[in-house]
Amino acid sequence: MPRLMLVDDEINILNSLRRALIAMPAGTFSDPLVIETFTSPSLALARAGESVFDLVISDYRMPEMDGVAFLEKLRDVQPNVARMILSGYADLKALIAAINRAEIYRFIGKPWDDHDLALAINQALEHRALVLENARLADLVRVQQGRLSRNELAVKRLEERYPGITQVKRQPDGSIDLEWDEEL
Amino acid sequence: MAESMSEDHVELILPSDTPRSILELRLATLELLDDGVWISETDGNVIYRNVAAAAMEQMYWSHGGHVGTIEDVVFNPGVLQLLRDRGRWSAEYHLSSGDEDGARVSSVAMEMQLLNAQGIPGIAFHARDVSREWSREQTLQDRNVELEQAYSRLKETQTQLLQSEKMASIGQLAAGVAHEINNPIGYVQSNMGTLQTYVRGLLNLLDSYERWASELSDGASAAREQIEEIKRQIDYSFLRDDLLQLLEESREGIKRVKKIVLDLRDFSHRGQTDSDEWMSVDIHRGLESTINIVWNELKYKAEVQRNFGDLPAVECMPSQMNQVFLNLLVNAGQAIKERGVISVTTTCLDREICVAIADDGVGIAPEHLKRIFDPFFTTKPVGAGTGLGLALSFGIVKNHHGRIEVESKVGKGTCFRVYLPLRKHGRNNLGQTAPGTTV
Repeated sequence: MPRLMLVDDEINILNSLRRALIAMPAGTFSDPLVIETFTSPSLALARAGESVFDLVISDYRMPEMDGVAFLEKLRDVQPNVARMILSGYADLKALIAAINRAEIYRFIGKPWDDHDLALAINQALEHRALVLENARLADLVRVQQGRLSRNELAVKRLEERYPGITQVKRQPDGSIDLEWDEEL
Repeated sequence: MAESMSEDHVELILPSDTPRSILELRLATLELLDDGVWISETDGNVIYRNVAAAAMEQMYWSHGGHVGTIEDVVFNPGVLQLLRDRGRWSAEYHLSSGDEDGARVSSVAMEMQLLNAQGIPGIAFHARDVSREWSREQTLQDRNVELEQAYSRLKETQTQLLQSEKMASIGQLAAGVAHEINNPIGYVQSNMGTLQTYVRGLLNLLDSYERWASELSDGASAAREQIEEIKRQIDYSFLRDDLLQLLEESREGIKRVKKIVLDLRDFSHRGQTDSDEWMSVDIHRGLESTINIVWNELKYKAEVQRNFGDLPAVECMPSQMNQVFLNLLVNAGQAIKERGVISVTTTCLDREICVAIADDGVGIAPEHLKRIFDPFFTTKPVGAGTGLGLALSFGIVKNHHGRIEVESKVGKGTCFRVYLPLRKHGRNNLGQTAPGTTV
C-alpha cells in the first residue's frame, strides 16, 4: 500500500487532505493509501528515519523551516521519495528553489482541486514505482554479470526498506550510536 | 458745460506771455509724433490733425470703406455723449488693413478726452497703432494656453503617479492577504467537496433505512410513529431537498472568494513578473476575440459597433491588453440597463494608438469618477464585481506606458479611452531592439 506523508503547519489543511483522499471514489488509487500527517517538519523528518514513504506533500511556508529546506533534508534520508509542494504562496523564487533544490515532482497551488491532486498523486506514485523497478532490474543485471555481490544487493534492499540502517555509526568501544539526528 | 461734467478733463493753461514761437514749436512737435492726434470742437468738428493722424485716417477709416469715416466712427454723437458723461473715452479697434486679402490685422488703441485751454473747450483725440503690442500679447496668450495645457497634463500625470503609488502599496498588501486567504479557502473548498460525498453516502443510507422501515411489521408501529414524528419535527423532505442545494451554494461562494483572491494575486503580481510576452500584434484581432468572449453577456442588451481605423502593429503584452478590453467591455455591458449600443473605436495617433470603448448606459456619477481606478471601489451590487477590474486595467496600461482616460455623463453614457504607445517603452533588452526605433 502506498505510504503518503503530508506536512503542513495548519492542521485543518492536513485533515481536509486526508478526508478528501480517503473519500475519493473507489478505484481512484490502485491501492488504498496509508496517510500520515505532520504539523512539524522536524517531527516528519524524524519519522522518515524510521519508516519509508512513497510520496510526501509539503506546504511551502512553515515556521520551523520552509518546504524546500524540509524536502532537501528528507531527500538525504530517503532519496527515492516522490516530493510535491502544496502552497498558497507562489512567488517565482520559491518555485525555482523547489524545482532546482528540492527537485519536486509537482508544485500545486492552494486552493487545490481534489481530483487534480489525486491525479498528481497517482502519477507521482507510478513515476516512483518505475524508477525503483528500473533500479532493481539494473541491480539484478549487475548481479548476473557479477559486478554486484548478492551481499551488496541485500544491503541495498535493506536500506530501501529501513532508511539509514546500513549507515549505523559505532562508538570507539563498538557500541551502536543511535544519536544520528544531526545528520538529518 | 464741460467744466462741470468731470474732473478728468485737461486744462491747458499757458502763460499769457508765452512766446508765439513756443506755441509753434509745440505744434511742430505734435507733427513729429508717430501717434495720431486730433483736436476738435466740442461738437466733434475736427479742427486739427497731425501728419500721423491724417495717415491713419487714410489707412483705417476713410479708405476702403470698411468702417466708415473718422467722423462716423469716432466723432459721432454716441461717443461724444459718452465723453460728456465720463470726461474720457477709450477703445481698441482691430481692423483689417486696406489690403484685399485682409490678412494683416491692425490694432489701434484710442483715447479721447475733454480739454479746456484758457476757457476754450475742446476735444483731444489720440490714437496709437498697437499692432505689434497686440500680436505680442496674442503670442503671450497662446503661450499661456500652452502652459495651462502642460500644467493640466502634469497634474494628470501626478494623479496617475499617485494612483500607481497607491496601487503599489495595495499590491504588496494584497499578495500577503492572498496567501493568508488561500490556506483556509484551500481546506474549506476541499472539505465542502468531501462533505458532498459524505452527504450523498448518508442520504443513500437513509433511503435504505426508509425502504426497510416501510416493511416493518405492524408490531413495530411505535417505532414507525417515532420516526415519522422526528421527520415532521425536522421537516425532513424539505431538509433533504435543501441540503444538496445548500452545499452547491456554499461551493459557489467559495468559488467566488477564490476568484477574488486570484484577481488580487494577478493585481499584485503585475509588473513583478515578465511572464507575459511582448509581441507586435494587431490590436483589432485582440478586440475581436475579446468581443467574442463577452458576446454571451452582451448580446441581449447591446449592439456592438466597430469603428476600426487603420492601425499598425502595436508592441504590447496581448493577453494583458485583452484583459483590459475585456474589463472595459464587461463594464460597458453592465452600464446598459435595458438596451443600448457599445461602440469600439480605434484610431492611430502620432506615436500611439487609441482604443475607445463607449456605452450609452447609466454613466458614472462625478463623485465616483475620481475613485473608479481605486482597488476595491465598486458600485456594482455585492457579488457582481470585486472592484479590481479597473484597478487591474490601470496597472496593465501603466505597465505599457500608456494611459486610460474616462469621460462620463450620468444618464448619457461613459467612454473609456486607452492610449498605447506603438513601441515598447525604453527597450534596452539585448536582441529586442528593432532598428530604427525612436523611443
